[in-house]
Amino acid sequence: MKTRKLTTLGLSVALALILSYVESLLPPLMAVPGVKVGLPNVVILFLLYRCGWKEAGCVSLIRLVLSAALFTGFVAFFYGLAGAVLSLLGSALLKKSGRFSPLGVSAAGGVLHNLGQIALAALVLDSGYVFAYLPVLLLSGTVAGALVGLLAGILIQRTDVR
Amino acid sequence: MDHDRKKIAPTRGDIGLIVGCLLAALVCCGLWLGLRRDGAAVIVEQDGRETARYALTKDRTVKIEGAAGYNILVIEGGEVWLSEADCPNLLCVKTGKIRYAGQSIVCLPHKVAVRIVGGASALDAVTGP
Repeated sequence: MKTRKLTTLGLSVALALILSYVESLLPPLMAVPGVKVGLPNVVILFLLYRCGWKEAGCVSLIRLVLSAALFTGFVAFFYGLAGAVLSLLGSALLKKSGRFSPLGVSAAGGVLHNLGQIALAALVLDSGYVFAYLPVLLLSGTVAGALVGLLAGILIQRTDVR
Repeated sequence: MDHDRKKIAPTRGDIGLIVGCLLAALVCCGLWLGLRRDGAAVIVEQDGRETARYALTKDRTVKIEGAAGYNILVIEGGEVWLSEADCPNLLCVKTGKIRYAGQSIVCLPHKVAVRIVGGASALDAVTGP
Protein backbone atom coordinates (compact mmCIF):
# COMPACT_ATOMS: atom_id res chain seq x y z
CA MET A 1 0.00 0.00 0.00
CA LYS A 2 2.76 2.38 0.98
CA THR A 3 4.83 1.63 -2.11
CA ARG A 4 1.79 2.07 -4.28
CA LYS A 5 1.09 5.48 -2.81
CA LEU A 6 4.71 6.53 -3.17
CA THR A 7 4.62 5.49 -6.83
CA THR A 8 1.34 7.32 -7.43
CA LEU A 9 2.69 10.53 -5.89
CA GLY A 10 5.97 10.24 -7.79
CA LEU A 11 4.14 9.80 -11.06
CA SER A 12 1.90 12.73 -10.14
CA VAL A 13 4.89 15.01 -9.65
CA ALA A 14 6.27 13.95 -13.03
CA LEU A 15 2.93 14.47 -14.73
CA ALA A 16 2.33 17.86 -13.11
CA LEU A 17 5.85 18.94 -14.09
CA ILE A 18 5.31 17.90 -17.70
CA LEU A 19 2.03 19.82 -17.75
CA SER A 20 3.89 22.88 -16.41
CA TYR A 21 6.31 22.51 -19.31
CA VAL A 22 3.53 22.10 -21.85
CA GLU A 23 1.87 25.20 -20.48
CA SER A 24 5.10 27.20 -20.58
CA LEU A 25 5.25 26.44 -24.32
CA LEU A 26 1.85 27.98 -24.97
CA PRO A 27 1.89 31.69 -25.79
CA PRO A 28 0.44 33.89 -23.02
CA LEU A 29 -3.33 34.02 -23.46
CA MET A 30 -3.53 37.66 -22.45
CA ALA A 31 -1.15 40.44 -21.60
CA VAL A 32 -1.99 40.17 -17.91
CA PRO A 33 0.35 38.20 -15.66
CA GLY A 34 -1.48 35.24 -14.17
CA VAL A 35 -3.94 34.51 -16.97
CA LYS A 36 -3.42 30.86 -17.80
CA VAL A 37 -5.23 27.56 -17.65
CA GLY A 38 -3.17 25.97 -14.90
CA LEU A 39 -2.93 22.50 -16.41
CA PRO A 40 -0.82 21.06 -13.54
CA ASN A 41 -3.78 21.71 -11.26
CA VAL A 42 -5.65 18.86 -12.95
CA VAL A 43 -3.18 16.55 -11.21
CA ILE A 44 -3.38 18.43 -7.91
CA LEU A 45 -7.17 18.37 -7.90
CA PHE A 46 -7.17 14.69 -8.79
CA LEU A 47 -4.90 13.99 -5.81
CA LEU A 48 -7.06 16.12 -3.53
CA TYR A 49 -9.97 13.80 -4.31
CA ARG A 50 -8.10 10.52 -4.57
CA CYS A 51 -5.59 10.88 -1.72
CA GLY A 52 -6.07 14.00 0.39
CA TRP A 53 -5.02 17.58 0.88
CA LYS A 54 -1.62 16.70 2.39
CA GLU A 55 -0.63 14.61 -0.62
CA ALA A 56 -1.99 17.23 -3.02
CA GLY A 57 -0.07 19.93 -1.15
CA CYS A 58 3.22 17.99 -1.22
CA VAL A 59 3.01 17.28 -4.94
CA SER A 60 2.01 20.89 -5.60
CA LEU A 61 5.00 22.19 -3.64
CA ILE A 62 7.51 19.84 -5.29
CA ARG A 63 6.06 20.67 -8.69
CA LEU A 64 6.45 24.40 -7.95
CA VAL A 65 10.07 24.05 -6.83
CA LEU A 66 11.02 21.96 -9.86
CA SER A 67 9.15 24.08 -12.40
CA ALA A 68 10.65 27.26 -10.90
CA ALA A 69 14.15 25.75 -11.14
CA LEU A 70 13.60 24.48 -14.70
CA PHE A 71 11.26 26.93 -16.45
CA THR A 72 9.84 29.91 -14.65
CA GLY A 73 12.47 31.20 -12.21
CA PHE A 74 12.82 32.28 -8.63
CA VAL A 75 10.31 35.15 -8.57
CA ALA A 76 7.58 33.08 -10.20
CA PHE A 77 8.02 30.47 -7.46
CA PHE A 78 6.74 32.82 -4.76
CA TYR A 79 3.82 33.95 -6.87
CA GLY A 80 2.99 30.35 -7.63
CA LEU A 81 3.29 29.46 -3.94
CA ALA A 82 0.99 32.29 -2.82
CA GLY A 83 -1.60 31.16 -5.34
CA ALA A 84 -1.18 27.46 -4.61
CA VAL A 85 -1.49 27.74 -0.82
CA LEU A 86 -4.65 29.85 -0.92
CA SER A 87 -6.14 27.79 -3.71
CA LEU A 88 -5.51 24.42 -2.05
CA LEU A 89 -6.79 25.66 1.30
CA GLY A 90 -10.02 26.94 -0.24
CA SER A 91 -10.48 23.88 -2.43
CA ALA A 92 -9.96 21.47 0.46
CA LEU A 93 -12.52 23.32 2.60
CA LEU A 94 -15.08 23.48 -0.20
CA LYS A 95 -14.60 19.80 -0.97
CA LYS A 96 -15.07 18.98 2.71
CA SER A 97 -18.35 20.90 2.80
CA GLY A 98 -19.72 18.30 0.37
CA ARG A 99 -21.86 20.79 -1.51
CA PHE A 100 -19.63 21.12 -4.54
CA SER A 101 -18.39 18.86 -7.34
CA PRO A 102 -14.81 19.15 -8.65
CA LEU A 103 -16.15 21.75 -11.08
CA GLY A 104 -17.08 24.22 -8.35
CA VAL A 105 -14.16 23.31 -6.10
CA SER A 106 -11.76 23.97 -8.95
CA ALA A 107 -13.45 27.20 -10.10
CA ALA A 108 -13.11 28.56 -6.57
CA GLY A 109 -9.52 27.29 -6.52
CA GLY A 110 -8.77 29.17 -9.73
CA VAL A 111 -10.20 32.41 -8.37
CA LEU A 112 -8.36 32.01 -5.05
CA HIS A 113 -5.13 31.23 -6.90
CA ASN A 114 -5.37 34.53 -8.76
CA LEU A 115 -6.38 36.42 -5.61
CA GLY A 116 -3.33 35.02 -3.80
CA GLN A 117 -1.03 36.11 -6.60
CA ILE A 118 -2.53 39.58 -6.90
CA ALA A 119 -2.33 40.06 -3.11
CA LEU A 120 1.36 39.11 -3.17
CA ALA A 121 1.98 41.41 -6.14
CA ALA A 122 0.32 44.24 -4.20
CA LEU A 123 2.60 43.50 -1.24
CA VAL A 124 5.84 43.07 -3.20
CA LEU A 125 5.29 46.06 -5.46
CA ASP A 126 3.82 47.97 -2.51
CA SER A 127 1.00 49.32 -4.58
CA GLY A 128 -2.70 48.63 -4.46
CA TYR A 129 -2.98 49.54 -8.11
CA VAL A 130 -2.41 45.98 -9.28
CA PHE A 131 -6.00 45.43 -8.18
CA ALA A 132 -7.08 47.11 -11.43
CA TYR A 133 -6.42 43.63 -12.81
CA LEU A 134 -9.09 42.21 -10.54
CA PRO A 135 -11.96 41.91 -13.07
CA VAL A 136 -9.79 40.07 -15.61
CA LEU A 137 -8.24 37.81 -13.00
CA LEU A 138 -11.60 36.95 -11.41
CA LEU A 139 -13.00 36.03 -14.81
CA SER A 140 -9.96 34.10 -15.98
CA GLY A 141 -9.67 32.31 -12.63
CA THR A 142 -13.27 31.14 -12.81
CA VAL A 143 -13.05 29.95 -16.41
CA ALA A 144 -9.64 28.31 -16.05
CA GLY A 145 -10.63 26.68 -12.76
CA ALA A 146 -13.86 25.33 -14.24
CA LEU A 147 -11.95 23.85 -17.18
CA VAL A 148 -9.46 22.19 -14.86
CA GLY A 149 -12.35 20.96 -12.73
CA LEU A 150 -14.08 19.37 -15.72
CA LEU A 151 -10.90 17.56 -16.74
CA ALA A 152 -10.11 16.41 -13.22
CA GLY A 153 -13.75 15.35 -12.74
CA ILE A 154 -13.49 13.00 -15.71
CA LEU A 155 -10.24 11.55 -14.35
CA ILE A 156 -11.62 11.12 -10.84
CA GLN A 157 -14.67 9.34 -12.22
CA ARG A 158 -12.75 6.96 -14.48
CA THR A 159 -9.88 5.89 -12.27
CA ASP A 160 -9.66 4.05 -9.02
CA VAL A 161 -6.24 4.79 -7.57
CA ARG A 162 -5.70 4.77 -3.87
CA MET B 1 -16.66 4.46 -6.17
CA ASP B 2 -20.41 4.99 -5.94
CA HIS B 3 -19.90 7.62 -3.32
CA ASP B 4 -17.49 9.51 -5.55
CA ARG B 5 -19.58 9.11 -8.67
CA LYS B 6 -22.46 10.82 -6.99
CA LYS B 7 -20.25 13.82 -6.36
CA ILE B 8 -19.12 14.19 -9.98
CA ALA B 9 -22.29 15.74 -11.43
CA PRO B 10 -22.27 19.55 -11.12
CA THR B 11 -24.26 20.58 -8.05
CA ARG B 12 -26.43 23.58 -7.38
CA GLY B 13 -23.57 24.84 -5.23
CA ASP B 14 -21.21 24.73 -8.23
CA ILE B 15 -23.50 26.80 -10.36
CA GLY B 16 -24.08 29.34 -7.59
CA LEU B 17 -20.36 29.60 -6.95
CA ILE B 18 -19.43 30.07 -10.61
CA VAL B 19 -22.22 32.55 -11.25
CA GLY B 20 -21.14 34.41 -8.09
CA CYS B 21 -17.52 34.65 -9.28
CA LEU B 22 -18.59 35.84 -12.73
CA LEU B 23 -20.91 38.43 -11.17
CA ALA B 24 -18.08 39.65 -8.94
CA ALA B 25 -15.90 40.04 -12.05
CA LEU B 26 -18.70 41.94 -13.77
CA VAL B 27 -19.24 44.24 -10.78
CA CYS B 28 -15.49 44.98 -10.55
CA CYS B 29 -15.44 45.64 -14.29
CA GLY B 30 -18.46 47.97 -14.08
CA LEU B 31 -16.94 49.85 -11.15
CA TRP B 32 -13.73 50.29 -13.11
CA LEU B 33 -15.45 51.51 -16.29
CA GLY B 34 -17.65 53.89 -14.30
CA LEU B 35 -14.99 55.35 -12.06
CA ARG B 36 -11.94 55.59 -14.33
CA ARG B 37 -10.49 59.01 -15.04
CA ASP B 38 -7.74 60.22 -17.36
CA GLY B 39 -4.41 60.22 -15.57
CA ALA B 40 -2.19 63.22 -14.89
CA ALA B 41 1.19 61.64 -14.29
CA VAL B 42 2.96 58.32 -14.46
CA ILE B 43 4.96 56.91 -11.56
CA VAL B 44 7.81 54.50 -12.07
CA GLU B 45 8.44 52.12 -9.20
CA GLN B 46 11.39 49.79 -8.94
CA ASP B 47 11.41 47.19 -6.20
CA GLY B 48 8.46 48.97 -4.56
CA ARG B 49 10.12 52.38 -4.39
CA GLU B 50 9.21 55.33 -6.56
CA THR B 51 12.18 56.18 -8.75
CA ALA B 52 10.66 58.67 -11.18
CA ARG B 53 7.48 60.55 -12.00
CA TYR B 54 6.57 62.14 -15.32
CA ALA B 55 3.65 64.31 -16.43
CA LEU B 56 1.54 62.80 -19.19
CA THR B 57 1.29 66.15 -20.97
CA LYS B 58 4.82 65.96 -22.36
CA ASP B 59 5.79 63.20 -24.80
CA ARG B 60 9.01 61.37 -24.02
CA THR B 61 10.88 58.10 -24.08
CA VAL B 62 12.81 56.91 -21.02
CA LYS B 63 14.96 53.89 -20.31
CA ILE B 64 14.19 52.33 -16.92
CA GLU B 65 17.28 50.47 -15.81
CA GLY B 66 17.50 48.09 -12.87
CA ALA B 67 19.61 45.25 -11.57
CA ALA B 68 17.64 42.67 -13.53
CA GLY B 69 17.43 44.51 -16.86
CA TYR B 70 15.81 47.40 -18.67
CA ASN B 71 12.38 48.54 -19.85
CA ILE B 72 11.77 51.35 -22.33
CA LEU B 73 8.94 53.65 -21.24
CA VAL B 74 7.12 55.73 -23.83
CA ILE B 75 4.75 58.61 -23.05
CA GLU B 76 2.84 59.96 -26.05
CA GLY B 77 -0.46 61.79 -26.40
CA GLY B 78 -1.52 61.05 -22.81
CA GLU B 79 -0.86 57.33 -23.23
CA VAL B 80 1.88 55.29 -21.62
CA TRP B 81 3.40 52.01 -22.69
CA LEU B 82 6.56 49.94 -22.44
CA SER B 83 7.89 49.53 -25.95
CA GLU B 84 10.83 47.28 -25.23
CA ALA B 85 12.37 45.22 -22.44
CA ASP B 86 14.82 42.38 -21.90
CA CYS B 87 12.63 40.44 -19.48
CA PRO B 88 11.89 36.80 -20.35
CA ASN B 89 8.12 36.95 -20.91
CA LEU B 90 7.63 40.49 -22.28
CA LEU B 91 4.19 40.63 -20.64
CA CYS B 92 4.90 44.29 -19.82
CA VAL B 93 5.29 45.09 -23.52
CA LYS B 94 2.23 43.02 -24.44
CA THR B 95 0.14 44.85 -21.84
CA GLY B 96 -0.11 47.67 -24.36
CA LYS B 97 -1.10 51.27 -23.77
CA ILE B 98 -2.65 52.68 -20.61
CA ARG B 99 -4.11 56.14 -19.99
CA TYR B 100 -6.47 56.06 -16.99
CA ALA B 101 -5.62 56.81 -13.36
CA GLY B 102 -5.08 53.56 -11.50
CA GLN B 103 -3.94 51.56 -14.51
CA SER B 104 -0.52 50.01 -14.33
CA ILE B 105 1.96 47.99 -16.29
CA VAL B 106 3.88 45.51 -14.23
CA CYS B 107 7.08 43.71 -15.14
CA LEU B 108 7.35 41.07 -12.43
CA PRO B 109 10.79 39.73 -13.48
CA HIS B 110 12.30 43.22 -13.14
CA LYS B 111 10.12 44.26 -10.18
CA VAL B 112 9.15 47.32 -12.16
CA ALA B 113 5.70 48.85 -11.94
CA VAL B 114 4.57 51.79 -14.01
CA ARG B 115 1.32 53.28 -12.80
CA ILE B 116 -0.79 56.25 -13.71
CA VAL B 117 -2.06 58.61 -11.06
CA GLY B 118 -4.71 61.27 -11.53
CA GLY B 119 -5.70 64.53 -9.94
CA ALA B 120 -3.92 67.81 -9.38
CA SER B 121 -1.80 66.55 -6.48
CA ALA B 122 -0.13 64.03 -8.79
CA LEU B 123 1.89 66.81 -10.35
CA ASP B 124 3.22 68.35 -7.15
CA ALA B 125 6.58 66.74 -7.60
CA VAL B 126 7.33 65.79 -11.17
CA THR B 127 10.91 64.57 -11.37
CA GLY B 128 13.23 63.19 -13.99
CA PRO B 129 14.99 64.66 -17.01
